[in-house]
Amino acid sequence: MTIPLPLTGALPVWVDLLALLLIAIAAGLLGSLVGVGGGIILVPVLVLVFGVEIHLAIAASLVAVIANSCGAASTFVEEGLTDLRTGMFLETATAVGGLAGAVVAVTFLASHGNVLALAFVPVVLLSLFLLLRQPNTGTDDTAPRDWLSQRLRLEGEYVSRATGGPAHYHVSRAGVGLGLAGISGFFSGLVGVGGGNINVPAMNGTMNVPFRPAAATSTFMIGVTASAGALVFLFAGDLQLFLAAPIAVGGVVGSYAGSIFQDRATAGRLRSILLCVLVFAAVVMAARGLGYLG
Amino acid sequence: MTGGVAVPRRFEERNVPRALQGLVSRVLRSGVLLAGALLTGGIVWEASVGQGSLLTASAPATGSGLVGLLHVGGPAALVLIGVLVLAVTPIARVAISVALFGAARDRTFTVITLFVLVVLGATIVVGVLR
Repeated sequence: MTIPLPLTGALPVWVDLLALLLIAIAAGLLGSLVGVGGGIILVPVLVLVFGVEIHLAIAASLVAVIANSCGAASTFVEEGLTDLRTGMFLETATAVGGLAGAVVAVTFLASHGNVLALAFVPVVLLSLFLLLRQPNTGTDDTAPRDWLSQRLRLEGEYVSRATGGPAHYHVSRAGVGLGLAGISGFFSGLVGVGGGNINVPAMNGTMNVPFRPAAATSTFMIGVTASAGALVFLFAGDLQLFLAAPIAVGGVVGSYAGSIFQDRATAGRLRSILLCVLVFAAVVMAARGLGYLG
Repeated sequence: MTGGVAVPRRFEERNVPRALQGLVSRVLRSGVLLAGALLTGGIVWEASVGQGSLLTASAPATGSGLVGLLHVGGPAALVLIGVLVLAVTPIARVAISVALFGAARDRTFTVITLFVLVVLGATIVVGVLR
């Protein structure tokens, strides 16, 4: 007797859709509670659990990433936590990078799923590293201002949780940040993630943007990055409509639920769950890339 | 400017056009809600009438194919409209930024946002015409 697998046509359509919806809700919930985007969980799950070809998983994930970004960013922008100038400046690089990454994925790597699986591994490892590291929550008023960030007046103000009052910061090393944003965009388009795992440390660690505005600004930028990538996959014919729809809706529902329950959650335990998921994803994607699995 | 930077008065007004925050936030929220409703409608519709494998409805790769699917209608067309609304939402907020920075005579940021708009617009034009 064989067990009927989802997405093979062996099960009723509603069962497949429900399974995708539920897995995306779980990914969105876990992601928003722990602070990573949905893509980094969704792509490996679609590939490893549902047996979806990796380039189809990447295309669908990018659509879900847009939905997640726009939903969350609308709130952050309204609250004034998003640094619009810095975000729009860095978007020039993430948009071009996202476009380039997606073009490479659909033209050169469409028939080389193993390379895409391998490309996923450093992205997961970087997220792991960042989860284990303490973010830089303060700002450095003495950080050197470079020519570019002065010229563009890249500076921001937000309500600090530590003092409860407005805190001001100025951007440093804008050129380096722009380069890192380009790399982030490239990996976003290549493997179907948002790129927050590079954007946030680029802004927080390199550009002197405090952690909360950096995270809110990254969320804001990701919509544009993922849109550039998703359009390339769409016009390459790689976008499966009924794969994208449930994971986009489920992802938004899950991360919205996560934002409500955030204060009550036991963040430490969730973090360990996510660490296990990411380690598992990295190992299995590496194994698949090297030809040991399917 | 030397050393530490003093907090400027009325920082937000100096930093970005006054209406930008509210408009961007509203466009993003409306786009997600509209797309979410379309996609949910498509999912429910497909769940009630769909048969066989889900992985046979890929979005058409050409402009004429997209228009064709919209003419045919059905749950796939509804989902396609939802996906297009979602993809266009960030582009719409970039377009609004171009207009507001332009109106505020912030030439540098008009050019920066216009560059992003052109990159995204070119992706669509090349994709549709290909």
